[in-house]
Amino acid sequence: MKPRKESSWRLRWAYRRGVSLLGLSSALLACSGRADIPDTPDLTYLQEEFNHPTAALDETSVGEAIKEMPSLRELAAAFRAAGGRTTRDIQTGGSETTSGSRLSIQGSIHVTARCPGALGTPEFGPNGSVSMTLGVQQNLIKRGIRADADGCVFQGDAFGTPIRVELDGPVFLDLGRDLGLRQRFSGRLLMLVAGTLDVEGVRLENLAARWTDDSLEYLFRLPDDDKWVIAILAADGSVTVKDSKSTWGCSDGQACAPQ
Amino acid sequence: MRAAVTLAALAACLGFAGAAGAQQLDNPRTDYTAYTRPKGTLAVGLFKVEHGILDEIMVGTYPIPWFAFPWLKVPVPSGYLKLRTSWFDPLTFSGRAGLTYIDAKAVAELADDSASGSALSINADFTASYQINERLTLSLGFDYARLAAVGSANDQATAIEGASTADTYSTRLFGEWRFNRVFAMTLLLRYLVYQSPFDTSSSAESDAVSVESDLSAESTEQRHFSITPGVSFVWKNWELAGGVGYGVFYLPILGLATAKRWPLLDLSFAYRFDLY
Repeated sequence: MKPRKESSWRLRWAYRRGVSLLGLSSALLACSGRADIPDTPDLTYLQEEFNHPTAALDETSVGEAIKEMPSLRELAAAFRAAGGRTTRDIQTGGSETTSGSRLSIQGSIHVTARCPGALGTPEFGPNGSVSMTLGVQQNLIKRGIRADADGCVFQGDAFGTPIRVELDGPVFLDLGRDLGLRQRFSGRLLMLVAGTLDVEGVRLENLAARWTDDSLEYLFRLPDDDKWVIAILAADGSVTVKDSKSTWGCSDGQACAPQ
Repeated sequence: MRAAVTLAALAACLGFAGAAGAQQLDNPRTDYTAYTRPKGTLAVGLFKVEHGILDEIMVGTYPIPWFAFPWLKVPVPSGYLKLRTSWFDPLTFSGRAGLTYIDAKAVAELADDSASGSALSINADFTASYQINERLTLSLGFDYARLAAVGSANDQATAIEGASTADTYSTRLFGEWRFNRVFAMTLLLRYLVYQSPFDTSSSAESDAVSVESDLSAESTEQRHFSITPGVSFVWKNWELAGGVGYGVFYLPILGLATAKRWPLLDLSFAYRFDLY
């Protein structure tokens, strides 16, 4: 009986040792391999909506639409400042690394930007934050970015006038194209605020805009139906409204006229 | 006259060949084969130092990194242990495991002043050597190398930080054709089976921004083969082996493979004596 017991003990020892070695090997191997690429939002549908407004306006309805919109100047200041907060940290500078490289890099970059507050002097910490996750695939930062703002307070510049802006909730961005890892972002940024944007105490929800240095386009959904127009604020402060058929030029305090 | 010289040279080679086997077994080549240093033997070379504790157990180290502290600020310690069988002659099996630790200061010198991580290189191989006859020995081996870097974040993080890992798996066939007790020709064929993407996790922090990344990098044009013909000389106390080839280059000590093909130089020499 004794040899049998010893044999059984040895079998158990060998089994446990084998399982332990297998576990250790698995743990070691699990540490390497390709990094996961996070899911990123696809906002190409929204780009299409900007390119193809659906509502058809006349002189009366375009004036009403302008009145229904929030202040485009303050909105532009808020969006530009919010976009700066979120994209500043991916403007790393340097030469572009393209997918033609002999090295393929992929994975994720998680950025948390603490917001400076609405005063002139930045105070990081009590003014909330914005966190976002960038997906990297074949040496390129993917164009779609999801960000989450947590009571992020910052200062916007409405044509020389500082305004208080607070961003909260989910925000989606589209860089317009995939970005090289060491490439400076420039171009037209599209932002969809699925949470709230508070501009000088005016709380706005579900906003979408895209902009360059020269102009800002705001997608305005008409309150009565599911159609939309695009309001465009140029750098000189002039406003135009684009519907499905024509473009309207709107001067401050005056009626809009087709261009 | 010319034919006579040739015949004399051939006769000399054949004459030495009879004694070649004994010399080969007394002082076998230890790299790329399953053999170890005989008990009590110490071999001291620029590229490695090896000591046979028993006939079947050998320890070794790579001396150059130990003395690299004038450039790297710290020594880079390394060591390996090799065990072999002695009861399946003429077939010999061996297993070898080695560690190399690269301190954070050395990584900072090598990579970037701001890097604050240390690195650990783990190497292991399994080899079977078969002595077909007194002159010809073939060795088949499997190599594994792992480089793991673990570090902490700082404000200016740009280089190796966080946790980084890469694994390399390769096989090799090594043949040694001994002409006489001193001289042998060698051929080393290596095939890179797989090199994992280099996975790195890093973090950086400033007052305004925190950045954490989990990125992996891999070659899009990974090459696999290398071939290195060479020669080896074994004298009473000295030994010298060298080869020139072409193909995937394996970083010395670390064992990581390059993606591209390169001209290869394989060189080792040592002074050998009995400690006890």
